[in-house]
Amino acid sequence: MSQLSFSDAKKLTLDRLRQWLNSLPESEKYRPRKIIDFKSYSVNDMIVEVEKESETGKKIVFDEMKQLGYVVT
Amino acid sequence: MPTALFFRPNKDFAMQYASSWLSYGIPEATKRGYKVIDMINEATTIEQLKMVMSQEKIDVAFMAGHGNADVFTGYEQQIVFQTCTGDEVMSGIISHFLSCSVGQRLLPDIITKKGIYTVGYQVDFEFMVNTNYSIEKDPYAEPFRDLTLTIIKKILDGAKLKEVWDAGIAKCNEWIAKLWTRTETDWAEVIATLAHDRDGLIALGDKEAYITPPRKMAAGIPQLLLLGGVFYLLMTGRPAPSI
Repeated sequence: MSQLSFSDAKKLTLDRLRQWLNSLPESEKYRPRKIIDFKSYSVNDMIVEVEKESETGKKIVFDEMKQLGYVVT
Repeated sequence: MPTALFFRPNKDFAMQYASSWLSYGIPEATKRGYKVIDMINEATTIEQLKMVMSQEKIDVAFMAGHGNADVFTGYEQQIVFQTCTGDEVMSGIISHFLSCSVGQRLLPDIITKKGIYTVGYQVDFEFMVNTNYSIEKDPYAEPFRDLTLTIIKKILDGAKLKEVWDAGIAKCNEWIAKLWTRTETDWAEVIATLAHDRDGLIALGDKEAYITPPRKMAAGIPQLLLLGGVFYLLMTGRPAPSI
C-alpha cells in the first residue's frame, strides 16, 4: 500500500467529493446521500465535514483512502 | 415456542431505515413459528425492555439503535445499556445489533455477562440512500437491508455463530460483485460502503450455540387439501374428486 500524508489525503478526498457533487443534479447536491454513524449527510455536507476536519470528516478521508489503497501517515 | 424480540426506534431519518429493515424480519420470524415482540420507537427504552423481559423469556433479539463502543441507545437516544451497566439483560440471548461500533467493547461485555452469541459492527455502520425513493424501494439502501435481513433469517433458521457471520460476509461480497460493473460514483460509494461494513462485522460468543427453530404446526391450504385427499382415498378406496 502507498503512503500519503493527511493533508494530501484530505486534498484528494475533497477532489473526489467535488467531482461527485458536480456529477449530481442541483436538486441532489443537498439531499442526504450517505449515512455515517446513523447521521445523514449530503455530498455537500461531506465536503464541509472534510474541510473542517471534524471527526466525521477525518473518517471520510480515511475511508476514501482505504478504498483507494492508501495508508494515511 | 421461542420468542424473537425486535427493538427498533424510528424517530430520526437514518433510524427509520434501520427500523424498516428490522420490520422485514418480523414476518420471517412468524413464518417460522416464533412468538414475536415488536418494540417500536417510544417503547424502545430500558424500562420497557426490562418490563418485557420480566414477563417473557426472550430467545433472540434484533436490536437497532445509535451506538458507540460503550453505549447502545433507543428512543430519542436515551441510553438503553452500556458497557458494565445494564447489559446483563442480554444474558441468555442470541442477538444481532444494527448499531455503530458496539462490537468494540459493549458486545464483548454482553458475552462476559452470559449473552449466548451476538453479531454486530465494530465500526460505524454506514449506508447509502437515495431520497427520491421511499425507504422500502430505495435502490442504494437495498444491499444494506438485504445484509441485515440475511443475518436475521440465518439466526432465525438456527444457524451457529460462524454460519451467521459467514452469511453476512457472503451477502456483502455478493452485492459488491453484482455492482462491480456500475461506473456511476453513487454506486462506487455503495460498493465502498458495503466493503466498510463487511470489514467491521464481528461475531462473538458461543460457537456451538444456536436457537432451535420452532416447528410449524399449522399446515398451509395445499397441504390440508393433500391430507384430505389421502384421507378420502384411504376411506373410500377411490381418489378424491377434483375441485
